[in-house]
Amino acid sequence: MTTYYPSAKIRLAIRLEEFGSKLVDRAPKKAAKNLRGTAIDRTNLKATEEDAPGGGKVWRIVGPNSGARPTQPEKSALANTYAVRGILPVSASLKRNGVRLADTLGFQLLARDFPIDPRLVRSCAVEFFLGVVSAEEFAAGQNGDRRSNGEPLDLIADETTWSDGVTRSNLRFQGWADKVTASYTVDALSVVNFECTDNTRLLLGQPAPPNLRMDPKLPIEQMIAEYLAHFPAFEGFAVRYLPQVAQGSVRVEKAMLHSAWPPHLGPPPSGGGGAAGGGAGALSALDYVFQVANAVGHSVRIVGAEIMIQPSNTIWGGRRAKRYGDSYTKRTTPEGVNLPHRTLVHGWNADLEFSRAFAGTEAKNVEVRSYNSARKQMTVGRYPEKGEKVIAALPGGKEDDKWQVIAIRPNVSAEMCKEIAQQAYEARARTELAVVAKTKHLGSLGADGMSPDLLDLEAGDPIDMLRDMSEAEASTFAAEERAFTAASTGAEYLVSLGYDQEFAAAYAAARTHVGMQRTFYTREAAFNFAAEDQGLDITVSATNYIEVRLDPDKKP
Amino acid sequence: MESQILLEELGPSGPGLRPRRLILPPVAGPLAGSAPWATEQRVAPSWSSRQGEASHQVLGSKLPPATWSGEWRTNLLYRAPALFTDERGEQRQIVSPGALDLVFESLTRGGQEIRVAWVVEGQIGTTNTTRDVIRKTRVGRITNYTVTPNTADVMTWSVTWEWLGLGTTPQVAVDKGASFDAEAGDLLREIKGLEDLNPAKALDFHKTLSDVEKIATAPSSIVNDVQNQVQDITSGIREVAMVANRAARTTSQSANSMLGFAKEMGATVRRACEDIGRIPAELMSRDDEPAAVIRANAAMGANVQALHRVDAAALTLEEASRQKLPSSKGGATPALRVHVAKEGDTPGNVSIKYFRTGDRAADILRANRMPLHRATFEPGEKLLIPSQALEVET
Repeated sequence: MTTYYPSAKIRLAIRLEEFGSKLVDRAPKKAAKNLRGTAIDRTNLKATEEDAPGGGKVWRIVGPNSGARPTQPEKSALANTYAVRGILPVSASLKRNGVRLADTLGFQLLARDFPIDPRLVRSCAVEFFLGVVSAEEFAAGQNGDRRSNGEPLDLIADETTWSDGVTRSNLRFQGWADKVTASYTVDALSVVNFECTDNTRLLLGQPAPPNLRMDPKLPIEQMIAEYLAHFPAFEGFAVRYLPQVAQGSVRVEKAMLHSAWPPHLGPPPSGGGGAAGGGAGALSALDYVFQVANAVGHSVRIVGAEIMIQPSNTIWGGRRAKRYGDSYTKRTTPEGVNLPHRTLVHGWNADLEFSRAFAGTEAKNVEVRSYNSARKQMTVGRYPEKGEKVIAALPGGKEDDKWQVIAIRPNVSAEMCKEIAQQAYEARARTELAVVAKTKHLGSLGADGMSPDLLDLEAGDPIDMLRDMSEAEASTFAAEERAFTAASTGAEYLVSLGYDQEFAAAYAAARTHVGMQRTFYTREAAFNFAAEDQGLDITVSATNYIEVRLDPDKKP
Repeated sequence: MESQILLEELGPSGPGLRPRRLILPPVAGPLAGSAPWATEQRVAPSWSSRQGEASHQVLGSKLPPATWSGEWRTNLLYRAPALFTDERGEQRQIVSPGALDLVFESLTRGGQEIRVAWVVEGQIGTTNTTRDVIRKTRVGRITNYTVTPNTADVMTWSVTWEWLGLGTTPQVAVDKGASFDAEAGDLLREIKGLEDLNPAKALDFHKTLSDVEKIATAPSSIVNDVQNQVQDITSGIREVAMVANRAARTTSQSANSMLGFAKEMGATVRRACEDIGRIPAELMSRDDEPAAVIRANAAMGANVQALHRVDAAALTLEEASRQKLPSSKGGATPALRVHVAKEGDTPGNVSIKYFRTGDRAADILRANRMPLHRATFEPGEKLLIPSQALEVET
């Protein structure tokens, strides 16, 4: 039996409005166009290289108001900004979305814990801590003991030492309140609702000025940090290159040398930047960062207040590097089974739902084009090849065999273009296997009560989803499948149920040769915490693809 | 073991006002078995079909709402009134269910956080001779208060608490002994301070139910008259106490002659108590303000308490009269003497001092309305020493 003592807390930094302040002799200017609600002198921002806590270096954008994190400013520097220490939320729902989407957090505070009128709040930074406390701390907290900072011992600490002896942060979300709603009710206890998005939203909300370009001579991480240091909203952010060993080695200038653009001007924002047109479709600073990083084969992730730049991984890429900061450690079960990834087993520590989403789109011929700046011509890769084109019927007896053209970064080899074309082709008409796992176990298989490694799960993480069919009572499906395999042939079993002989034989053949995927990739992870009764539920949505079109010479 | 329930507002109900405080004696508190103090540990279990055991998420303790119920009876409240400190800091005794109803309604409507403490006093264990206090405390609000008047003298009530936390123990312990001291002091003052005798005036007060009904519908001037009359009867009965005191100093023959008078006096006092108890508390007020009603009721309660003490004095007189005191020992022996307790005084010591035997310890405790297991007296505590005449019989 595993026992967890889950706990959560919310920490806020509140910037109040200046209503009635005698310090302001005239109406204050409208809030700057960022969620932090304050105007900061951008000339004071600069990017500096620092030693990162987890090893290696980061480029941090520092200014006069920099606290430990963007969501934790120094009160002395930011006028009318105050830190509010940990409050236990009644409920909280954290959603970790994909890399291009901001993580979202919704939570509720009791009005008696947070008797603040949202109309007086100009902006609100939010930090969400979620994890487990030890049995000893829990008991002491229940008896009224407190930490040195005044928080009860049974309220989650900022950091917890796991069973492996490593102290890890319990900070699961850093972001900003988008909406605060105070519900004054009569019958029930009044609550204050918060809807928040993480720091990604700051980057998405910052338009990219059309004439501001990155300096391609700098290493990519420094280049991005210098660029972001132009914007006051990014004070406190850091840019980190992964893996650490390659820090400082990637320069955009080299890639640009072979392009049609003058390298000394830096990579241009597509469409002339966001400030020119304005509006919702304007290019954001994050879009520009993505464009530049992608152009040299790198992906961008935002974790907390760090912008991670690293070479791209794909699902086709074979061995994947372990995510930086991933708390999961490989383990072996007592039976000797290796668990390279977090593992959830239906009937053991999770309830799983498998589904197959059939493709709703038709197959399309794909042509990938890359400009070769040295030879001044276009490199083309196609899938399928010309002779194997997919031909779709159109009304009026016409045929559609056109190519879907995808323009990619310059100077990519023909082989790579073909590879990309195949990926795009498979992705377009792909059939997804989806699995949704629900569990109240905070650790994956093999973890104990003080190692909640599922709380650290992020979009893109691999996770093994298995189903135990050894026990008949695990599910009705399992009982049927055992009967299926117990029959001398599966076909006989189906025939005994009244199925047609031909179908039974075909299904039995397919069933026997199937190689069920066990590793899925996390698409979304949701953590729902209800302090009152339900505790902490984790829902993981993961996906994989049916690879039935693999060329024989390709290794899966 | 004696127990009380203390209700104390944590904040004032308005500027310049003080938090209110109510002490409920056992007769005014919840009935036995009707005041649960529950604590709940919230556990979210998780079962998977393959698992033989559940996994637990332990979420923390919670204090579920509690409903307490009880009954207020006038005759019981006379014996042990509730103590109420109002928003002006004035302390009153409450003997009427109606007045308690007003207090509880006011506390409910006020919506203030209330500290609720259960205080149990007495000797804990067999070897420990010190006086221990067990407290159970909660902080909460009254979310539902229901009262059902059965008759004017009997009301059934229930209170539902929504707890906010465990709270801290009260700054000042509720000391049951304090009320005993006050009571004894009052009696001493009454006995020593009265000079004149006017028993006829004291016996003048007796009202039938129909009189009471008339009073109930009377305008405020009549009510005021009733209140004045109550004041008068109190004064008269204090004088009767003086009679009792003096009678106790006489010889046994005189005491015998006073016996009939004492019996009649006791009966009269009891009748007066019952009659006053029938008067609704609201009529004791000059206006409709709850606070004024409560104050009026408290004054009434104080009077009734005085009646009780006089009743007790009359009983003492009756008892003394039965003893047929020898003339050699009677004479100047007072019926009631006062002993101011010193450090280390015990009922046994005091008994030996006054009666040359430790066997009268229980009588001393009884005379001072103290629990019979009381082991020591606090220094400075004033004790009534029963008549020495009783010594002869023991």
